[in-house]
Amino acid sequence: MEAIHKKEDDIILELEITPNRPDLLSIVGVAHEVAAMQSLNQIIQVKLPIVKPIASANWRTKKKLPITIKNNFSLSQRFTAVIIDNVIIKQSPMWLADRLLKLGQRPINNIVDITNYVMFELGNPIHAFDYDKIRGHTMIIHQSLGGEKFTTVDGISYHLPKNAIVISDKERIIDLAGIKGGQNSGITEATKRIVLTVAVDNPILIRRASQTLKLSSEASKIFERGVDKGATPFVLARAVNLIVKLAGGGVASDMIDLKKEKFNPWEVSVSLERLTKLLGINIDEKKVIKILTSLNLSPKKNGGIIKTTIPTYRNDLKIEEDLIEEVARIYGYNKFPKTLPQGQTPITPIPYQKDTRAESNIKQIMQSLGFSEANTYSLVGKQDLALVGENPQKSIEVANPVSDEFAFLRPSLLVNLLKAIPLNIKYTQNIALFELGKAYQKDDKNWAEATTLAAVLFPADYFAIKGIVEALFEALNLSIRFRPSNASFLSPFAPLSGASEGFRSRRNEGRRYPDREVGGASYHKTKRAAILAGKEKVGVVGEGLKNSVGCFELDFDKLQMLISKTYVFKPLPKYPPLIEDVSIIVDREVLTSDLIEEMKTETPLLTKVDFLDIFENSRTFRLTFQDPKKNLIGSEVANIRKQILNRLKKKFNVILKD
Amino acid sequence: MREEFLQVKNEALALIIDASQRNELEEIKIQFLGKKGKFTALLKSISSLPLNVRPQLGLLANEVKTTIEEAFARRALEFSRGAEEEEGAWFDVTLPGKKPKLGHLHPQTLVLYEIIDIFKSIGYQIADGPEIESDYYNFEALNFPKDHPARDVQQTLTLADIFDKNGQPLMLRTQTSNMQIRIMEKIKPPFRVLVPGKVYRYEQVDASHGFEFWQFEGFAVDKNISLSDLFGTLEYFAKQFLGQETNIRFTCHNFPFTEPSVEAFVTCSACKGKGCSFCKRTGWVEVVGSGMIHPNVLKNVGIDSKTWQGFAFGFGMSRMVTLKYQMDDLRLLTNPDLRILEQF
Repeated sequence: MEAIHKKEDDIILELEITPNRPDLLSIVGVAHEVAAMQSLNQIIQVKLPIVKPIASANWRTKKKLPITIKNNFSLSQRFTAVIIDNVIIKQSPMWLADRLLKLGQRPINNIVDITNYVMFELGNPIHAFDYDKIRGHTMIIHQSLGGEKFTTVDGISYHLPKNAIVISDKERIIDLAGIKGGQNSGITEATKRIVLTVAVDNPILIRRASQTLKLSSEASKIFERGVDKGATPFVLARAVNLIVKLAGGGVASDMIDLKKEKFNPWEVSVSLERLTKLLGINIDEKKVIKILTSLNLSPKKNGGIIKTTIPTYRNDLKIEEDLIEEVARIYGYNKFPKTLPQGQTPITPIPYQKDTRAESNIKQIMQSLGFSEANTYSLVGKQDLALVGENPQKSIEVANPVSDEFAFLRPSLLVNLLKAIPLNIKYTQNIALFELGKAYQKDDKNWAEATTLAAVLFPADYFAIKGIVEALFEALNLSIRFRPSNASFLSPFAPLSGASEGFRSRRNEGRRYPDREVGGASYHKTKRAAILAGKEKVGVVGEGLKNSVGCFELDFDKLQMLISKTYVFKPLPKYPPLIEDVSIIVDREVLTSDLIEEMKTETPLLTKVDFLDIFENSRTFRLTFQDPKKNLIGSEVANIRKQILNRLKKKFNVILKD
Repeated sequence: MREEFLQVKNEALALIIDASQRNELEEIKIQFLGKKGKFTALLKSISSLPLNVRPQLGLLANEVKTTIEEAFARRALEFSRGAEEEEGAWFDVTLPGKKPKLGHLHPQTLVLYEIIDIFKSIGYQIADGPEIESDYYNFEALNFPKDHPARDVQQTLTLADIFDKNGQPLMLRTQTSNMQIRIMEKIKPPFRVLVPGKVYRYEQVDASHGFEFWQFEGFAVDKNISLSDLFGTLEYFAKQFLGQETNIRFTCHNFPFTEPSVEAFVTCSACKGKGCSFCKRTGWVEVVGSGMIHPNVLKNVGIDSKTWQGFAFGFGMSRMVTLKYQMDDLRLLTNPDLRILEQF
């Protein structure tokens, strides 16, 4: 129940009806439901309106009027109709108009109002045609070709889409079936005789036409959800009863009921054992029968099985589980016990498994390094792509975005993180943000969702942000190297050796795609590096193109595979180290890390090399020598130093500075 | 020789402790570690001993030296601290300290890890899957008929230019339930799975709705899992996450992929059930759609519904975050404003 209003001396209830219960789109339907819910001790019955059958003698007219109806059963599974002659069109009586108004409907005239009234009362849409306007006394149910002009009873004209269900007479379209009647065949003050129709229209076709035209009605909404196929004669008869009573006239034809099937109630059985097992509660058999009876399902017990007969207005009850739900909900969900599943805890690893510890670990490391976590939109705008120099053609676009601001999937997390800087500058001088989330990229026919860790730091230079990366990887216990780079982000398409099953590698199907330039424009031309763990490129770090911003992006999917959770303990050194500083002259273009790596390859006795200083082409390092087996003496170290320098000289043309 | 080293060490340490002034400390240092110091002399004398005892003594000498040096350093520090001050001088303890810069985790992360914790403790494993999805996994296999109003509740965002193997355009998933199919078609029961993830809908943005938000999906299939187990699981979660005093209420609802279907409401955390704008004055907030997995869904993934049964539930996780921390606007969660982030 959504709401309750009071209107004069009446009460209006607003109910939210789920799409599986079109029977509740009528007053009688709701009454049945309430009766079932209220039937706690005694079964409460709903009193249906008393309806005189159409074939009844006392209101037949002397002459019968002719009508030919050509139906297409794939469009209209059932078409029930009757003609009423000598009607007098006038305003509906107060009681009728009043009820329609309270339902939010506008009273028009007695005939139209009755069709509306009965629709709300019983749940099947009814349409009344002016008999004299049906040319050739012929009604053909068919599909529109597309483009035909049609004016509705509201006076609005449309160009019909293809395949909508329409009714035509001998010359023109007179009805957009299930949605809106035609102005050319509608009831006016001059109408003397009518054709009343109650049909069962194809819900899919109604829905498609309604969506294409962006035109719907109470009737179309009911048809989309499915009408009671067995009720059409009763509904028609009810309307006839009211019309003859309020507009006079008499029945001028037999009831026409075109159908290929019988539309009888159907049987569904429910096993009591299954009911108990699915619900996890023992409901007394008598109670189960009572509930099913109160829902008009005519239960019959046969051993452990209860057979029910489903009335045609409950299109939603087709399988055993549907009945079990009925019993459970009428019994009352809140009366159930609250238990936890029994049985062994399943330990077989599931597919698509996520290592939440690795994620939480890396987030906590970033937090301890002083970064705050953002969680931004995956959808970004075209203009935002420019921030990372990304070509919109290479990004995944949404065909029907909610707005231009959110029309693309972000190819890099830096899009939003960089945007966050001017946003935050108003309030603070120091900005350190990170995000762990998906970046989305496509390449010809394939696409990928790459989990990325990205961060921005402001104000920062290259060394500030590189320091963060170094600290992060130290905490992750993963050894990395930096190389100069002009490609920015690793393509997510390159398959990882020994990749786990996951949707990413599944799409790859083993093909290798070249590195893509993503975020290329967001990094400084030379102050950027690729981050390598072994041979794998795991990310990029650099100074941003905009002033004073440092950023990095890491391929988290890859990282997860590489992070080792084990440590191997190194025994503490027994002998003291010998430390000395060395200054060398070497070309500026020689990378410091290359020098250090080369030095270390000379001997394992050189356990640590720290970079101290650089000035023009002179660089100073602090070398730590240590032997686990003995005390090193000065002369030995001098020897090693000479060997190291020789090696450097050979490779990089290094000279020792005096 | 050992004895002598140890003796020297103890002597030095004792003197260091006794030292009452900085310059005294300097003198002691020279006395032991200087060119003519006691320790230095001992060290030199090692070279006059036979080769085989030298390594051991060398080790010991190093240890002693380190110990003495550390003691000096500590004592020197103590002196420098108290240099200008006497004991008992006035000191304002309320002056700000040198606080290291703190980072912050996103409130959604805090909530997510709490949720994971709660479910892991009752045997759930965590999974993640694609956001770019096909109609089959998002709707069809979940028993949503094509061209049916049931789909209206979740309007989709379709993607341009990327298609599935049948040439159908792909979409952004509208619910994390796609993972039910993806996982269940690959493994046999029993299992208990939790899937947190981002979902997308064609919806205009306001304080409580958006086109992009988080859900978490859970499902469990075994021989005897029943509706009572679903109620119990949802209550267990609600009380763990929102507090033991939280109440939960169940109503019947309809989802194509469950039968029976259940919707659950919890006591509004903002007003404790009294009624406020957050809960539209009802005192209750709707938090989860759930039910027993529909036999058609089990059939679609090759699981026999006569042998196995289970439940599934889906929470609006973004909604849970705003509920837990009493945030009145969903958009706060995607805003990288540090004034928001630094509150957590």
